[in-house]
Amino acid sequence: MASKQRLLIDFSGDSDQAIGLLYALQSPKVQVSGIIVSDAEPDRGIQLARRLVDQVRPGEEIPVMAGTQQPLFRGEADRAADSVMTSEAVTFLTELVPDPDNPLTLVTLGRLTTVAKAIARKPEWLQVVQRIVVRGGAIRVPGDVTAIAEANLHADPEAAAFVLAAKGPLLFVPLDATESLGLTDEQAALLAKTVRGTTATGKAGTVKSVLGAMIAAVAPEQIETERLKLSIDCHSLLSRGALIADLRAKPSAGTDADVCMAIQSEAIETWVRQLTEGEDRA
Amino acid sequence: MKKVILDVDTGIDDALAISYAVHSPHLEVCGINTTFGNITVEEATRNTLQMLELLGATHIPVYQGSSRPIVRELTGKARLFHGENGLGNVVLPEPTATAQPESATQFLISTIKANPHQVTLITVGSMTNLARAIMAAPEIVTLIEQVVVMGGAVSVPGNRTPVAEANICADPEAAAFVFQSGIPLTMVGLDVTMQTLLTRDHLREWRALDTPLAHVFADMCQVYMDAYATVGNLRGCGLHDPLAVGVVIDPTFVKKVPMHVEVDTSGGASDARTIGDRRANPAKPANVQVCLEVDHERFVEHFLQHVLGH
Repeated sequence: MASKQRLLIDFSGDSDQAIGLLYALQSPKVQVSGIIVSDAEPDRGIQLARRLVDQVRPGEEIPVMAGTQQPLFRGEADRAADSVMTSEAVTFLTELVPDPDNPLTLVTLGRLTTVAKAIARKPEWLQVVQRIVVRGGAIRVPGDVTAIAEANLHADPEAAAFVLAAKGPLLFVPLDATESLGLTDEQAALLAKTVRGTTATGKAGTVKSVLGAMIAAVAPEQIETERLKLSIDCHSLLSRGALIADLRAKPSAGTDADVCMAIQSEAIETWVRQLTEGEDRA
Repeated sequence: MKKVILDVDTGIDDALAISYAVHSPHLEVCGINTTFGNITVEEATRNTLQMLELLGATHIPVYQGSSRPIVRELTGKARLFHGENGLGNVVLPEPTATAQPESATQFLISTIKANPHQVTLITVGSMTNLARAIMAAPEIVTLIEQVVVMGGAVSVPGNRTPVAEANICADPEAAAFVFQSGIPLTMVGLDVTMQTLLTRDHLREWRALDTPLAHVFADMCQVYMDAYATVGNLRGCGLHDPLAVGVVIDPTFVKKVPMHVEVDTSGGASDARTIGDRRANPAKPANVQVCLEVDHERFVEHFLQHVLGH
């Protein structure tokens, strides 16, 4: 039997990110081994994920679990129960067992808090995953929350910096690599409706970066990567959450990690077209 | 002739910029302010006086400026690039003249007020003197014609850190203060200056001219290019400070984009970064004209024609 790519997906529960979930569930070569919802209100994301699993892979037992609800640092007033409890997803990650025949990839579509907490708890699990694909960052291109910061790293820069420092098998997929994917606002909106079943508004930039991260996770032969020295700013008011790559002729500052620089877009564009044309007719 | 004041931390490329400005028929250099950066302000004053004597331009007054950043302590000099004395260890005769009694800040304020809407300031070192002048006399913001700043990097890597350029690093708070002051600002950063290269072939041409000035510049730039090679730039050295002068002589050397730019002063990994909002819908209105493209061939040719005089 041909081995399948096992995939863990950590997402925020929102419908734009759930499009990535749909893509993975519909990929014949992929076995989705777990879905983590890292969100302040995980129930809505858990319901959404379960519904998608039932639609696309009926009868399949795919664990869907809550991740960390809040970023590592937050205001005193915000203190939620999960600051004193270990989330289900953290336990799940730290108890992963090696399966050399079926390599495991973790893809994070939202912030990195759950991964950071799992590394803090028991870093050995990093050796069980072949790749951690991180949707996040903007290096040469503008950010999408501030002039230079991308939403996922901005949402929890300390967690991202902690994960980077752990030197796991990271592959960053920044906005630089996904901007040029061919996807219109109309298609993004239709895709968001497909997963949400209501009038969700899809943002093309977000959907492109979600699908770009999924390709990097499930079809690494379709991307180009470069090894760069990276830092994540956690200190600056202006630059908080910025992903800094040392692009000088002789780089010296930061931690080495792989970065996706380009993505072949045909496969994803075909998938989007099939799905959205079907939706148009419906 | 356009009235200009230069603000320098002389510096090898500062020396080239001074010579280019002094020899330009389009510019009237009203005075030169000195600051710290590549070297201490005292060394900058000495080097500037020496350069003016070498150029036979002792009629241009020199005003000594700030010795340290507006908020921080003074940090190390750029010995790797500019040599121990700031001029690539080329030894020039001790200057016979001295700096003017007036401070750089006083001179800047009085000159701008005496010539409303006519003075262009070109800063090629730390922006400390200008920041102090705006603090002391905010009205100069509306009385100056414009400020052309050599400094920063919006779309390319830094040269001091992955994201920061050396002149901004010299005094990030001063730069941040000037950028948010409302003064009309043109930023000539690494985005364009790294495209303007002086090569070893140019140095050979200077040596062949066999004039004292050509030899001094060739010797200085040799040191500068060797330093560039150690950080991975093998083809030559950037004409950073001369391009800021060039943009005043002929604005068509560059293409500018209006942009909102803020300077990071966090002291962390992003310290001294010039953050330009390049999003389709920027959060704030533009405060800087950022040079993003340069006709480098035409500029370098013009620079080479004028830098040594006639």
